Amino acid sequence: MAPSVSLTVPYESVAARKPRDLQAEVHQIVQQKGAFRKVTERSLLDEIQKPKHGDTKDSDVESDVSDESDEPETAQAANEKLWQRRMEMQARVADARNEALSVLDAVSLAASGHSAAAQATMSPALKQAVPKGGFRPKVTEPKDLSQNAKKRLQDLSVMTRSQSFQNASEKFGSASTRLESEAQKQSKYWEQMASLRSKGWQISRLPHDNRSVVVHFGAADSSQQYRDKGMAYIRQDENGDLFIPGQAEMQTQKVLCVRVHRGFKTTGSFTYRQEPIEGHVKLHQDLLLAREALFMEELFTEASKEARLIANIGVQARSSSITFDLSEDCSVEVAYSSVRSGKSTQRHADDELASMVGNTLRLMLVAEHQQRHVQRSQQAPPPMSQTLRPPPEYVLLRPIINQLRHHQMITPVLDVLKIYKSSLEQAGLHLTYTTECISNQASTHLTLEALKELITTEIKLKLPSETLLSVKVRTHLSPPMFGTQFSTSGYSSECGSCALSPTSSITAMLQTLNDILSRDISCVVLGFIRRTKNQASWHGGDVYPIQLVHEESNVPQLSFVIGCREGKLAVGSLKEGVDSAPRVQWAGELSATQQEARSLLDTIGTWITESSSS
Amino acid sequence: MHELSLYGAVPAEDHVQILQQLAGVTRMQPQHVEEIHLVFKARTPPGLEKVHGSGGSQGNQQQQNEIQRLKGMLQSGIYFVQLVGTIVASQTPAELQNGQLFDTERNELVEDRTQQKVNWRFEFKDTPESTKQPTNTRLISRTRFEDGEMIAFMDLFGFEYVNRYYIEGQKFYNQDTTIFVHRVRQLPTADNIRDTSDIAKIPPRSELQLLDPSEGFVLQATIDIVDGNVQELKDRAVRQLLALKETLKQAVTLAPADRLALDTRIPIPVRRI
Repeated sequence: MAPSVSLTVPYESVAARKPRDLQAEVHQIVQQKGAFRKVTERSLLDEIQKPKHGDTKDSDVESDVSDESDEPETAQAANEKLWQRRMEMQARVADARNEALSVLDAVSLAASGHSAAAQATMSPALKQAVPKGGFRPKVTEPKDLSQNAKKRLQDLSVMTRSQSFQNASEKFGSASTRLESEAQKQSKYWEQMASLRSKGWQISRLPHDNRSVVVHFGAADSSQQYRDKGMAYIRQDENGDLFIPGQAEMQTQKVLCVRVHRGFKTTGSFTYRQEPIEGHVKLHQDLLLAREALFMEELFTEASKEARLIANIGVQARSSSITFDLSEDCSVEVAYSSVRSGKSTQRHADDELASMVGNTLRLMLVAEHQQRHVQRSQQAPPPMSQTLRPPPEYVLLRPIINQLRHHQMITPVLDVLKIYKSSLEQAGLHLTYTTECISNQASTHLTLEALKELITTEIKLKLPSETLLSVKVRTHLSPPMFGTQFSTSGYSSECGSCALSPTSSITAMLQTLNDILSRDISCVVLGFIRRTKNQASWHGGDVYPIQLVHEESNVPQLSFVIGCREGKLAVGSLKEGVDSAPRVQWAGELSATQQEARSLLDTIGTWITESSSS
Repeated sequence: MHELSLYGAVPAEDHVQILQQLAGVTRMQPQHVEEIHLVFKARTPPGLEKVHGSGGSQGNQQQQNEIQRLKGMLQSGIYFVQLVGTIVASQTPAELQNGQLFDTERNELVEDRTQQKVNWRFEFKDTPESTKQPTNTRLISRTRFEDGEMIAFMDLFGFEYVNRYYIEGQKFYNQDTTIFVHRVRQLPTADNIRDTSDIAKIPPRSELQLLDPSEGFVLQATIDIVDGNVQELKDRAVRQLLALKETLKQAVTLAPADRLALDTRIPIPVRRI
């Protein structure tokens, strides 16, 4: 065989002289090194490595290159070198051509006996020199091989055969392991599907895509968009475990957080957390997470829609939060953000309020879903019409705000009553009250339904004179009330009559309450005085110590002081001081304005003098 | 109002399976429905036969034509109408469950006629339109009757009582479609015509004879549309019905019924003039 030769035309120097266009360069590279699609990383690495190994055949070229780089030659020398190389190349090509032609001649001569085509390929010189079909191929009988050679041949065939068997066995082995793993994957697939079903997840095939299996994790009766989102394809990974795609996005899902602000401080926060349940497979956990995320998204979107509707009652909706005020310095914020803060151990005062709001919101959405299901499955659909029916609005925030504001309004009333009660008790008078929530709902277990209604709380008071009084506080955020209304039943005694017609002012309410109580206490006092006639000792001035003595036994029954304290009517008891001088221990204030207190005291004074003179 | 419908037959042995499949498709539990249907016939206007078409002279041809037209008008608009009474429990389901009136195994109301009341409605259905649409389309009208003597009222209204029957079945609702799987039972003739509409006089369901002895059910898928003359609305309803047909393809074959089988016109007695 001819030794392999490598011929390289030094194109770099030419390229260095005059810039060539990229297309020509690319063409040259393709011609010399082959197509680009055959270029692999490895081949490129090899090419880089090759010169470093110091291939002997390339040494002269390299040295030439290094020569070139060492001392830049003139154009004349470079051209000469190029021509020299070209001639060398041509000589070699001519050699090769010669050899190929002589081989062609030989083969043509051999085949010329049988084929006309072979005759045509013979060179004219050969045709003249040798007759056609001068060569005849002849099959020779195989020689008797020596024992040794026979054995070698036999060994060779045995070896070849065993090698092919080995190849086949390897192939079968790999196929069997593949099948085995496939079967394992299949059994794992069905096992996990069954466990998913047993945990209560609904699995179904899609009607239009028969091959994929989906699992439903969303609520069946949510709006169309959330119902579509509430299903996921079940896929199988390389290990045969089932998974739902898109889980990575779910990890960074936003969460719903309820915060209570008082002034500029956050005094309570609540974030609902789906606690991972022990002993459940990852898929189950993922589905729970996905369900939670979807539920949160729907809850916030629907609440935002509602918040925009009820902006008139002071609800502000922003892109990622809803805020509503409870009182002047207290507000509740429902935020939907991607901040997944760690579990804060810090406890706040209003955590309970926040968790109540958060949990109730969730319950309201579930209740709305349930209600939709009942409506859908028990009422025939209305006739189809051209006007599109908008999807019904959810009622989520309104009941909560309603309830909280109602509570907020009723607290000051109860606080005032508490003060009255304790102070009057010290004076020996009894004021009792009970609160009762009035609901139209007959059964007690449908509390969520009851939340949506008008809330009415009735405070039943038993005044010191045993007169019954009822105070009603009603809250409704829709027309016609748009807030809270207070009203009292009518009070009437010999000290005057009083009643509060429905009003939304809490000040008016407290004033009326004061008025009624003052009148009632006066009434009681008058009663005592009448019963004890002249027994009551009476001193003028701002403080009226009153001692009530039993008519028959002359035993003092009750002694208290009514007087003016800081301009307000107050009830207290008479105590002995350090220097055995009488001192008044005030129990509580009764009246709101100075003028009223003064006039009332005057009235009491007149009554007392009248009764003692008679 | 127009009604678009498709019909299919459900054999008795497939009934439970079909109900399960429908429950899956519609995502709801079947609603058990019992109905009494009273069939009435409109009376022909009195004195119609006294209108003589013939006997006139040749010159009166135009008058005769006029009389023919009038007669045609008076007779062609005569239809059978129905008074449909839906039997409902007079108590709420919760109370019924507490009172053990709810048979949980069969998921049906236990029959106790004293605990039931009827919601009546007057129903007029036209003969389906003769179009090449893939559904039956017909004009319908429903009017609720609150209370009163039904038969006497209808009589005064110009309708004559003909017959009555009883329908039992299950209803499903899906989007705008109502799917009603039902079968007909025969009701015995009441002794007194006034008792016809009284459910207390109706024997229990098990004693009523089925009209179809094979005990099969009819599946009827209906969509009501406000105005059948609006093409867009009609197309939407047809699309929805055909989608349902495609969904239920494996379970039951839905197809439009024979138009003349749903004919509600009173056949005109052929009289020789």
